[in-house]
Amino acid sequence: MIRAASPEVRKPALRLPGGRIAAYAALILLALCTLFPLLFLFVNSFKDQGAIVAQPMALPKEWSFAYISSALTQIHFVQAALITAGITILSVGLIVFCSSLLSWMLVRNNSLSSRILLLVLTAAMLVPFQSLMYPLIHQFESFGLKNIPGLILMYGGFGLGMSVFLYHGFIRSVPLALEEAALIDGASIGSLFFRVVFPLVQPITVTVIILNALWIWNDYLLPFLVLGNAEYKTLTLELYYAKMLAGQFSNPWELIFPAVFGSIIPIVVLYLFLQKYFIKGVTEGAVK
Amino acid sequence: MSGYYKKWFWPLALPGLILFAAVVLVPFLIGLFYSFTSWRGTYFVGGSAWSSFVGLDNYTRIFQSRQFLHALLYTLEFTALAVISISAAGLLLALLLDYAGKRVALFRTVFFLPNLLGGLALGFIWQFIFQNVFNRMFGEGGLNIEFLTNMTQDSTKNLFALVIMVTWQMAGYMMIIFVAGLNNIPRDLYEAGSLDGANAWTKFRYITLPMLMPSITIVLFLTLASCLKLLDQNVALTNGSFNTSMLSLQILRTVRYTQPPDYGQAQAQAVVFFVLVAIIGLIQVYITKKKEVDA
Amino acid sequence: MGKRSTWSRWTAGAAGLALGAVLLSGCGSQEAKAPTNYDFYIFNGKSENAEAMEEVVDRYEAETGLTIKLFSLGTTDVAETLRSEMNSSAKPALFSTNIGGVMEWSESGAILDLNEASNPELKALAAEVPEPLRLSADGSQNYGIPYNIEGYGLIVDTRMAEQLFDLENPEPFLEDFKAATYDEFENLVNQVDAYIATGQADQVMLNGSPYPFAASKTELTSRLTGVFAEAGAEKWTYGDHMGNIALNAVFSSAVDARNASEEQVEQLKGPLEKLARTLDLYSAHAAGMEGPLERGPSYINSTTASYDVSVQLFATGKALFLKQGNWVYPNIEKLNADILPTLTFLPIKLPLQQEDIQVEGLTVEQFNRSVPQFVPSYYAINTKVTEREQELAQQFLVWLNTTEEGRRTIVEDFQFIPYNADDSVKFENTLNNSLIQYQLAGDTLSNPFNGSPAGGAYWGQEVFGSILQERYYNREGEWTPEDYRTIAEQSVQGWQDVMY
Repeated sequence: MIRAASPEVRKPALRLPGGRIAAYAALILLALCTLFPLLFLFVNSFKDQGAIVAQPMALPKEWSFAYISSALTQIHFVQAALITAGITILSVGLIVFCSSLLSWMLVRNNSLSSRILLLVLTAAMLVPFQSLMYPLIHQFESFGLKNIPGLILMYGGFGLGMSVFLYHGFIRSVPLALEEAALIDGASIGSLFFRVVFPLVQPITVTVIILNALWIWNDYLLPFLVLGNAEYKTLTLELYYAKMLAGQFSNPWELIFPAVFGSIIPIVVLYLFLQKYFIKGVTEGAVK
Repeated sequence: MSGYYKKWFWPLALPGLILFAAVVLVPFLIGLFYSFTSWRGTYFVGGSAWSSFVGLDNYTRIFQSRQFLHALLYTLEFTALAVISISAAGLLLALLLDYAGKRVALFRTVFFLPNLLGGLALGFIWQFIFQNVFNRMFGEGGLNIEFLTNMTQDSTKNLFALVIMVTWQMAGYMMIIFVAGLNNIPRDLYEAGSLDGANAWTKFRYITLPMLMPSITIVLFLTLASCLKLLDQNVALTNGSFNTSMLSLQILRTVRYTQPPDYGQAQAQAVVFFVLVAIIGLIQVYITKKKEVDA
Repeated sequence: MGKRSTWSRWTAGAAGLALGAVLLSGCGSQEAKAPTNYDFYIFNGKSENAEAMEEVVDRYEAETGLTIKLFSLGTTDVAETLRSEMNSSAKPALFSTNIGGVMEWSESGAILDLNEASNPELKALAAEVPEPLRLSADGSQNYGIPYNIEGYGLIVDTRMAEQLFDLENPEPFLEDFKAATYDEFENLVNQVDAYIATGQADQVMLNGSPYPFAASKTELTSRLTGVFAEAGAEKWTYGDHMGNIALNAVFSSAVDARNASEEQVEQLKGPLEKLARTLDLYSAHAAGMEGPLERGPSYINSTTASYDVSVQLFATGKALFLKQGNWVYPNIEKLNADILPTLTFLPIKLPLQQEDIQVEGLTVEQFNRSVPQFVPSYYAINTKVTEREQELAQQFLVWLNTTEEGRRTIVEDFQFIPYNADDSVKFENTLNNSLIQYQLAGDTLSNPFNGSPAGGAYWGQEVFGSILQERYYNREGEWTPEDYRTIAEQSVQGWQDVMY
């Protein structure tokens, strides 16, 4: 009882052989393994092609930003990062809006049809993209939506399955009494949702935001199919075309490595600042 | 009360439902329909979808395609290995973090980091590491471990190269889920175990694992789904050379390897792929849910 | 009660939506609508001339007052992108295609047979396209105007040859090399290899004339580490382009290969077996960065045996021959512009017997002195756009290919060899000039590999190229005649497996 009250002296679930020192040693070793490819990427973002291929493990002779800045120019870094951010934010906003409302309604109208709807929505998580991509692109094309707004709508649709699954599980645990009380106080449907329900489900909203933002930010195939080599490209697409245009059959590492390095900086920085939410998002997502 | 929500059901649910129908449901149904036709991507043989209806032809041809069957097998092998590897690595990290207790925030940060990278970016890095760095480290003159050299130039070795890569990428994510699971285990269970003279292994086997079942369900579901559908990493490492195409890539290849492009066939392969993923996913959820109840 | 009605309403709605979409996309053969913000649309599937095309189109717009939409893309995804443009409401009026695309676009009816072109000048222009260069499905149609001519062979720096054999003038050597038999060529390779290793080798015979080696190595020849600059990681370099040499013994064109009979495919076994022997010779004498490059895992490693690396090996004088095409010129320019003026093509030879050759009138001698030349891409007219767009696109093609300015554009701006080049066409690009010489002399082979299953994408790379890369280049040790036979038989089998 006393222990539970003071988290400082929280006991481990399991004592491992070798004591804490061994645990730290193992953690340090594993952390180095995890960091290795990233350090490798960092170091090789400062080298020329010859040095990368001949001595990939060596430190650069000089820390020149020439390769990074030329790579960033080539992938139109600022423009692409803004476009990707815009697409990600709008898509995630759309997902949060639609899926929270839909889940709320599904929970509060617990009928056979809503249970079937929920099943269909969750089953969509299992649908491989390949099984619908050609008809999807074709159909959006015919509505004049083979562009960035269309892309955002597509993300909205694809993110829905998982998000409804998460919201639904969470809203079920929100007591109806709160909403009833608000209704008795004369709340409108809008204020009922935005003042009562939405704040209550905030933890799972963080999860929905983080999980969707992660894959949308990094997605390659959908922007490739929808935008292709259009003027305004996402970061991953820029990366892909930078490699392609440098020569379909060549590997210009002195361009690829700094470009990859540059392209991951925004999300890494964001992660370092909002780490708490990332961890919380993933954790909440796992608790059905 | 229920009447109130019922009144609002359609207005509030509709945006989501329309979006879902337009992006997932309708294209999926159209795709299903196209899988019974000789669709060529921009047209139907014979003019219209109805006149190019070929019944089950595309489906019978799937099971005569050695490439597709190989990709199917390769995907299943990879998935089995990768799911075990990712879950085990995630659990190990979680146990270590839990045991070390204090000052682990930095480690947690580091282990989660690879999840932020997209498959393409990560593929470019790992391709170079496997083909160049590993050959130096593990080749002659290095540690001399033949198996870890030229990993992308052999079907079996590449399976393990892919497993290494996705474990590196996803273990940190699973770690976080396991850490949360471990935190939910009441500590007095262990104390009771200690009193009964259980050692670390028996405690792990009879207390930790059963109590972690909910986390394990989630971890298995997430890893299964993403491993079965893996694409970017497959493209980046070998692009299918040395018989290393997994299903996602094989389906994309089908239209490239046929002239005129056989989109009907690719669509049928994708439907089979969906059925496979759905069956495996449902079986997994069913089994682990059952275990949770038993535990 | 309410439950059931909601549920059925929902299913009915979904089914209706799905059906609607199917009808819309499946049976919707909408009438072509005139575009609003441009006059016609060019889909240019070649990245090499992307920038130049932009300028040309600008000039053409200024001249005619038209507004043209131009889109250029030249990667492996070009086919998928074109399809998506063809599906869209803004369809290209002029697009790029080749023998692979013809099967698709003729079946869908989107490609105009230029024999029936509405523009009489274009009709005349198309009629003048030489028979072997025509784009057709079975030989009777004429679907496109060639972009240009490309070709490949063994690229050599003549200064290297001069210094190896102490030549005053390289011309007789080059002429004798062209006329030489395969056995003479094989001996040359072995002796050059010995000379690289020891600084001494026996004199070689080419076309009956003796060529002794220089008494001592020069600064240039001492750089050599092997005879051939190979790119084992790139299946297209041997799967497509070397494979194509063998196909030329049986098929005289891509259309021929496309319509191959089972028996003809069977006849490929002989030439492919001989080709395997040649590839053995090449890969056993490959140059590396510091010394000879042995077959084995590093021979196919994509960081050390890529296209760039092979070009680099050649450009820095580490290899005598580079088997590549005229498209490699700008890549060499970046690495070592000094050797550009002395580059030329030599033919790729195979140890064929006359009975291996099925193409009528082709002799072994002629085969071994020729280089493959072909049209990589054609301009085609889309029948699914409005009459006006089709007419404008035809006018543009006529302008590009018949006017003084248009023809200058092709040569000077695109740096393309025109399909109807004559003596007067001269380039700074020595490789282009070399190809024109072969063309004028009639020493050319064709591109049947483009007519093999799914073009190079399937047979060349996934069958023939994969067998070589994954089972032979990948391992150390000698190849046996048994191996040559296996390579040939399995490659033929791979072709027959997908015939229908």
